[in-house]
Amino acid sequence: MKKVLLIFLALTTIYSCDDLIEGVNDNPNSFTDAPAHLLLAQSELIAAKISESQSSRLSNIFTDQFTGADRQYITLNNYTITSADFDDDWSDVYAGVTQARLAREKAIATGDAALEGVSLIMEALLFGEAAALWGDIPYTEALRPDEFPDPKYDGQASVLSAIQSTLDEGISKVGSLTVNGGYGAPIFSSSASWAKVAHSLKARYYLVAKNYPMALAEAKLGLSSKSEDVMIQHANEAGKRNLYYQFGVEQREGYLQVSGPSHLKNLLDGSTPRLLATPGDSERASKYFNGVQLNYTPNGYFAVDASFPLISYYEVKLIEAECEQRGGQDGNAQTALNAVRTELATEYMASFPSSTATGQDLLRQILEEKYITLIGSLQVYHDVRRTQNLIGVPVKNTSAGNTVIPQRFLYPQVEVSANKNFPGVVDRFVPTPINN
Amino acid sequence: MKTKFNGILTLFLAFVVHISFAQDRTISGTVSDESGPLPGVNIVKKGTSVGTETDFYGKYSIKAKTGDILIFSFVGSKTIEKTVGSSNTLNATMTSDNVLDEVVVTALGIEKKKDEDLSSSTTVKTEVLTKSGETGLIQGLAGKTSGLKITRNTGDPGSGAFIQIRGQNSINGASQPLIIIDGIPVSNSSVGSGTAGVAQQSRLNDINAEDIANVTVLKGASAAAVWGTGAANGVIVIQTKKGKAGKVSVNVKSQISIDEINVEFEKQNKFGQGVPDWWNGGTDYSSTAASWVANTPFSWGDKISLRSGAPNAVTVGNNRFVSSTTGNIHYPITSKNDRTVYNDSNRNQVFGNGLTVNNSVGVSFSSGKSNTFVSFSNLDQNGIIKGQSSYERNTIRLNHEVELKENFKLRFNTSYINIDSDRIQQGSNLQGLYLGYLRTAPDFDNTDYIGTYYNTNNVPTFNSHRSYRNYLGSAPPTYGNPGWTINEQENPNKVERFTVAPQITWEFIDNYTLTARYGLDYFTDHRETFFPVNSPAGLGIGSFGQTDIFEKFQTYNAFIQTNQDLTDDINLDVIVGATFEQFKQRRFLAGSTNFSNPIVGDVRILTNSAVADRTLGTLITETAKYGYYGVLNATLYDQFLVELSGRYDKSSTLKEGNFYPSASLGWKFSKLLDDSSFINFGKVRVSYGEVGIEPSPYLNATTFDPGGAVSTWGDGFAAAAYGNPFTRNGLKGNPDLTIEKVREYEVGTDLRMWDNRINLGVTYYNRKNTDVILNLNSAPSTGFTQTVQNAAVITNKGLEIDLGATIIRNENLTWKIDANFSQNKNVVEDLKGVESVFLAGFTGTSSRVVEGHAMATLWGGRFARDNNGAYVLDSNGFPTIAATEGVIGDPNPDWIGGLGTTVQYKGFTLSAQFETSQGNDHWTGTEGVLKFFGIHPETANETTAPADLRTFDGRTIPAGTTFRGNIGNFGGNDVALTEEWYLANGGGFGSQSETFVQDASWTRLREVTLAYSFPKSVTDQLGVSNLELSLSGRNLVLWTGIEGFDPDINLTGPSRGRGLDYFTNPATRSYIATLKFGF
Repeated sequence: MKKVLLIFLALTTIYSCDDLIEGVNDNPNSFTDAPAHLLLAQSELIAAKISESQSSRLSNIFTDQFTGADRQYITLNNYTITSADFDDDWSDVYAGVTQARLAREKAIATGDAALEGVSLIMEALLFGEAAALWGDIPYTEALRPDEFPDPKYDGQASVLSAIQSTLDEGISKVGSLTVNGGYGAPIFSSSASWAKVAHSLKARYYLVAKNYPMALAEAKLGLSSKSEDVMIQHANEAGKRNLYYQFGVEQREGYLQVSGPSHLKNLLDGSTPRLLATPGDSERASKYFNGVQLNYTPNGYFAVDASFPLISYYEVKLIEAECEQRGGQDGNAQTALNAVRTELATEYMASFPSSTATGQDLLRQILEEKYITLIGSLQVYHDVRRTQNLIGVPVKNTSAGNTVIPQRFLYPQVEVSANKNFPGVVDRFVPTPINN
Repeated sequence: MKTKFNGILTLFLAFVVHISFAQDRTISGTVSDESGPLPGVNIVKKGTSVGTETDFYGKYSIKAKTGDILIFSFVGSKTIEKTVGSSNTLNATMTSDNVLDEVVVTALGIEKKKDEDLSSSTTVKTEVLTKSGETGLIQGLAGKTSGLKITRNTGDPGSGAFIQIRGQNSINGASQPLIIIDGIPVSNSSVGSGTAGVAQQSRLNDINAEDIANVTVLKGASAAAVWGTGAANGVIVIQTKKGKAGKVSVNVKSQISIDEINVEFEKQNKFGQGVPDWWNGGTDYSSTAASWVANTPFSWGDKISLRSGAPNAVTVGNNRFVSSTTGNIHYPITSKNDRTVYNDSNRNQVFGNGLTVNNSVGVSFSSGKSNTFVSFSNLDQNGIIKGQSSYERNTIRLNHEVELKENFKLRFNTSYINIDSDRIQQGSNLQGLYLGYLRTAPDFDNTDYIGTYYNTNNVPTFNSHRSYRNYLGSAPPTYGNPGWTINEQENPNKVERFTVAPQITWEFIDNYTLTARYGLDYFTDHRETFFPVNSPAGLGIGSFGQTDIFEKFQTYNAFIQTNQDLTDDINLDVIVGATFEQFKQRRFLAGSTNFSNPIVGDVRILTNSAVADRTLGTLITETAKYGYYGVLNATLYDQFLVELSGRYDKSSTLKEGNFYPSASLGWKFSKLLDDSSFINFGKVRVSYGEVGIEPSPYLNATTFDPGGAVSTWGDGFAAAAYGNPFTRNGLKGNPDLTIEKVREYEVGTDLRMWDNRINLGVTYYNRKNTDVILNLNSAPSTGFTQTVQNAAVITNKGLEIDLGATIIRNENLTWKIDANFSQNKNVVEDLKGVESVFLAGFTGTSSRVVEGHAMATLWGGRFARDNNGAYVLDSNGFPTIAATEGVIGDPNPDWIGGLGTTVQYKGFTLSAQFETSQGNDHWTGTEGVLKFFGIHPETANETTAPADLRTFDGRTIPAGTTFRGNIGNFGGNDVALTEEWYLANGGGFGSQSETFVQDASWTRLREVTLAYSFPKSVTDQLGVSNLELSLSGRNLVLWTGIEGFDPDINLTGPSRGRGLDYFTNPATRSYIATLKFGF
C-alpha cells in the first residue's frame, strides 16, 4: 500500500504544477498594449475620417452643397435617415476619444507633456464635433465602462464648455511644438504650432456654442496663414487616397453628385447670384466640380492625392469676420473677410473683389463665403443650423412636407439598444439645445 | 532488442515443437452453436501459437496429438477448452453468449461489459462501419446508433462532416465531440467553414476505417465527466485493432466504387438569355415581350422555340474569341437565331462518374508475449465533378504490444497519414462551380471557356475567359464558366499527419496496475487557392493564397487501477489518475494578388505582384490543461452497480479550476426474476454528471491591433499607409470568464428478452448548459462595442432508443434487425435580452441563436401578417414585407432514426441500412436565386390569364393573354407571378426568405449490400483462409420533399450554423464492389 501512495504522490507532484499552464493564454496574435504615439495617431485618423468621410458627405447633402443621386444616397437626399445610419460615426468618435485618452494616460506616466497636449486636442475635437452633430451626448460618464456601463447623457452646452477646458489644458502642455514638428505626420501637415491649432478649435466650438466674443478672441490666436492649414495627407496608394475620391471613384460611383440642383454649384455658376459678386467663382467651380461630378481629376479639389482640411486659416479668419460683425465691428469684419478674399484671389489667380457691405448684408456675405470656401466641411452644416439658415439654403423634398433641413444627426441604433440611460429618440428636425 | 529476441525465440521454439512432435495427426470437426454451424471460431492449441479458424460451414482442421487442449473462442461467446482424445473428430458447441458479452469502451479506453455499464453509451462495430461504403469514418457512423447526428459538408472527395451528439450546447465554445483513440485524445479540427471557398476535411476522417475495431459513442455527461472541461459535446471512443492471438493472418480488402451525383437541380429549357423589352425601353411598360441580350445574368429572354433556327447572325471581323480547346471561333452576335438548348452538354461538362479505389492490407500476428497489427491503405478518389476534384489518402499503422515482464506491458501504437486533395470552389462565390453552372442561360454553350480574345484592332489577349456573362471573353466575366472553375482554378491541399501513442501497463503490486500513456498527434495542412488571371469578377487580376497549418496535440495520462472484493458481496474497482494536455496550432497565411506576370502556368509564387498587393499573417492558438480524476465502480450483491467519478481540472483559458462530479446507479433487476421469465437480462440506471466547455483562448484580455478607419461605405484610411496606428479592440476582454457548465441527468434501461433475441436500450436525458459564453453589445460610449460574458442558457432534452432483434436464427438462415431512434429538443432558454446571435449564413438569411428557439434557428425577412396570420397585401394583391426579420425555420430535426437489417443464408448476406431525419427545415437558397434569374423550371411556365391579373409592379395582364409565369394567390385576388415578382420578393434576392425555408425531412436507403462468403472447399483450393465478395449501393434512394439537392449537406460545413444551401457542391451516391480475403 505504501508503494501505491508513493507512486500516486509522484504522479500528482509531476502534474500539480500550475506552471504547466501559466502564460499559455497570453495572446500571441494580438498585442495587449500599444505605445502612446500610435494610439494618438489612431485618434487623429478618426478625427480625419469624421471630417472627410460619411459625416462630411451627409452634412453637406443636407446643406445642399451636394446631391445624393443613386440608391441609398437618394434616400439620404430626401432626408430619410435611420438610427443605424449613424452607428459608424458615433462609434468612431468614442473609439477615437478612447485612443486619445489611453495615449494621454501613457504620456502622463512618461512625462511627455507635448504628447499629452496633442491627445487632449484630439479629444476635444472629437467631442466637439459629436456635441455639435448630436446635441446631448455621454461625456462625464463616458468611457468608464467599469463604473458606468450605461453612461448618462450630458447637456450639449456643458460638453461644449468642458472641451474648452480640455483645449486650455492641451495648450498648456504642447509648448511651442508644431504639427509638423511632432505628432502630426504622417496624417496631418501644418506649419502651425499645436497651440495655434487648439486656439482655432476653441474659436470653432465657441462659435458653435454661440459665444461670439470668446470665439473672436480665440480666432485671433488661431491659424494666421494658409500655410498653417492643418491638412489631412493623401497619396495615390492603397488606403491613402482622398476619401471623396475613394467614395466617388472607387466605391460608389454616381452616388454623390452636384446634379439636380446643388445650391453650391448654383452659386458658383451664377444660377443663383452671389451676395458679393465674384468673377473668380468660375475658376473655383472648375476646381470643385467636373460637370455634375465632384472634380476627382488631377488638380481637382477631390483629386486622388488632394489633401483635405481638418481646420483651415479660411475657417478661422471667417470666424473672426463673423464675430467682429456680430460684435458691431463691421470694419474689422470687412477686413477679415477681405483678407480671405485676397488670399482666394491668389489661390485661384482670379478676381475676388473686396466687400464693402455692412450690417446683415455683411454677415450674410461672410456666411456665404464660408459656405462656399469650406466645401465638404462639417462647419458649414453647423453654421447653417446655428444661423437658422440665414443664407437661405434650399430645403429638399418639400413635397414630403420638409420645411427645414435636418437639424441633427440621429442617435445611433447601437446606443438606442445597448445603453439603459439612453434618453430617447429625438427627431431629425428638432434643433440641438444650443440652436433651439 | 529484448522484445525482438523474445519474439524470435518464441517463434523458434514453436518451430521446434512443431517438428519434434511429428506424431501429430489431423483433428477435424464442426463447431456450432444453438443455431447451427458457426464460422470464424478461433481454435488454438493451448500453450502454442498453432491455430486455425472454422470456415463458413463451421468446419476446421488442425494438427494435434492426444492430450492436447484446444481452445475454442469466438467474439462474444464463452471460450471453451476441449482435450484431444483418441478420435480424429472433435466437435464443439459454443454457448450462445453472444449478446451477454457485448462490450463498451469507457472514456478512459477501458473495455467494460455493456451489462455492467451505467451509461447510455453505444458501440458501433467495425463491420457495420466499413460496410457503409463511405470513404470517411465519420460519415460511416451516420444512422448506426441513437443520439448521434452526422451531416456531410458536401459530396466532394474528402469533404468532412459535422458530428452532433444529442444537441448543440455552445455558441462560442467547442461544438464537436472529444475524440479518443486507444485512450488518447486526438485532433478532429476542421479549419475553415464559410459561405464561400472549398469544403474542408475533418481530421477524424484521416483514419483508415479498416484499422478500427470498434467505436463507442459516449453521449451522456456522466460517462464523459472524467474528461471534464472539453467533454460537453460527448466523446467518441475508438479502439484500433490489435494483433490477434494464434497465427499470422493477412487480411486484404479491395474496393472499387463508382460515384455519381444523387440529386440535381433542374433548369428550364424554354427561354433564353435576356430580359423583358421594356427594361431597355424597347417597348412600352405594358408589353410582356422579351429579347435575347448578351452577357446579362438573366434568362428572362425570348422563347427559344420561336427563333428562326438559322445560325446566329454574327459580325465577322477582328473582334472574336478563339477557343484554345476546340478551335471554335466566336464572333459578336447580332441576332440570336439558334434554338439549341445546352442544358445537357453544360451539365456533362461538369459532372461525370467519380471513381474511388480503396485498398487496404492488415497483417496481424502474435508470438507468445507480443502481438502486432500492421496495416497499409490507399484510398484514391476522383470526384463526380470533373477537373480538379480528388482525394488520395495513404495510411500506415503499427500497433505493437509486448509483455516485457510478467507484470509489465508496453504498447506502442503509431500511424502516418498522407493526404493529397484537390477541391472545387463552391457557395456564394463568383468563382464557384454551381453559381456559374446553374445560372448559365439554357441557350448558352459553356464548352469554349478558355481561348484568345482579339479586339477590333486584332490585338490578342491570351488565356481569356469566356462565360455567359462575357461570351467573347473580352474581359474577366462576372461569373465563371464552370469549365474554368473546374479546370483552371486550383485548390490543392496536402496533409501529413503522425500519431504516436506509447502506453505502459505495470502491475506494480498484485492487483494494482499503473497505466501511463503519452499521445502525440501532429499534422501539417498545406492549402493553396489559385485563381489565374482572367478568373471571374474581382479576381481577374489573378490571385494566389496559401495557408499552412501546423498542429500539435500532446497528452499525458496516467492512472492506477485496482479491483478489490471488500466482502463476498461487495466488489470495488477504483481508478485514480492525472492528465495533462497541450494543444498548439500555428497558421501561416500568405497571399498575393494582381499578378505582375500573368503567364504563370503552374508557377505559383507569392512574389509575382507588387509588394502592396501581398499579404502576410500568422495565427497562433495554444491551450493547455491539467486534471486529476478518480472513478469508483462498486458492485453490491452482484445486483446493484454504483459508479462515482470526479475530476478537477484547470485550463489555461480559465482563471479558476473546476470540479466535475458524476454519479450513476444501476440495478440489475433481472437477478430477481426466475429463469423462466421472458426477460433474460434487465437493468435500470440513473445518472447525473457535469462537464464543461471552456472559453476560446485569448478572450481574457482586451487586445490592441493595427487601426485604420474605414467607413461602412468602403472609403477609409488603411493603418499601414499612415504609420500603422494602433487601436484598442472594441471587444472588451473578460479575465473572469468561467466555463460553460453542462449538467445532465439521464435515466434508462437495458433489456434482453426472449432468449436474448431482443435487446433494447432506452434513455431519457435532460441537460442544461448554463453560463454559455456570449458577446453582448455595449453602448459605444463606454469605449467598447462588445463585451464577452457568461450569459446564456441552453437546454437539450431527449429520448434515445436502440433496439436489436434476431428474428430468425436457425441452421441456414439468420435475420437480424437493428433500429435506433433519437429525439432531441434544443432550446435557448436565456440570451440576456440579446435578440439574436449570428452563427452562419448571409445578411438576408442566416442560422442564428434566438432566445426561446433552438440553436441554429433559421432567421430572415418575412412577409407582414395581420393578427389572424393572413398576409398584409399591397394594392396589387401581393404580400408586403414585415418591418423586422425573424425566425423562419428550425434546421434541427424533430427526430432521427436508423434501421438496419441483415439476412444471412448460408454463404450469402444481404444487409440494408435506412436512415431518416424528420422535421428539419432547410433554407433552399439556390432555388430562390434560380427563380430570380429565370432558370428555375417554375419560372418557365406559360399561363393564360383566366381573368385580368395584376402583376407585382402593378400592371394588368388582360384575360386571355398568355404570359410567362404563374398564377398566385396570397389571400386576395389571383395575381400574375411574372419576372417582376421573381426579381423581387418571389426570388432569392428579395426581402423575404421565409418561402425558401422548406421542410427538408428525408429518408434514405443509406446502404444496401449483398455479400457472398466462399466455402472452405473453395478457399482451400485458392490457398486463402477466407474469401468474400460483396456488392453495395450507397445512398441509392432518397425520399424527400426537397428538390435539387440532398438536404444532408450544409453550406457552412461543420460550423454551428445549420440548414443552409446556397450553390453548395452536391452529394453523391455510389455503386461499390468489395473483395475481401485473408490468408
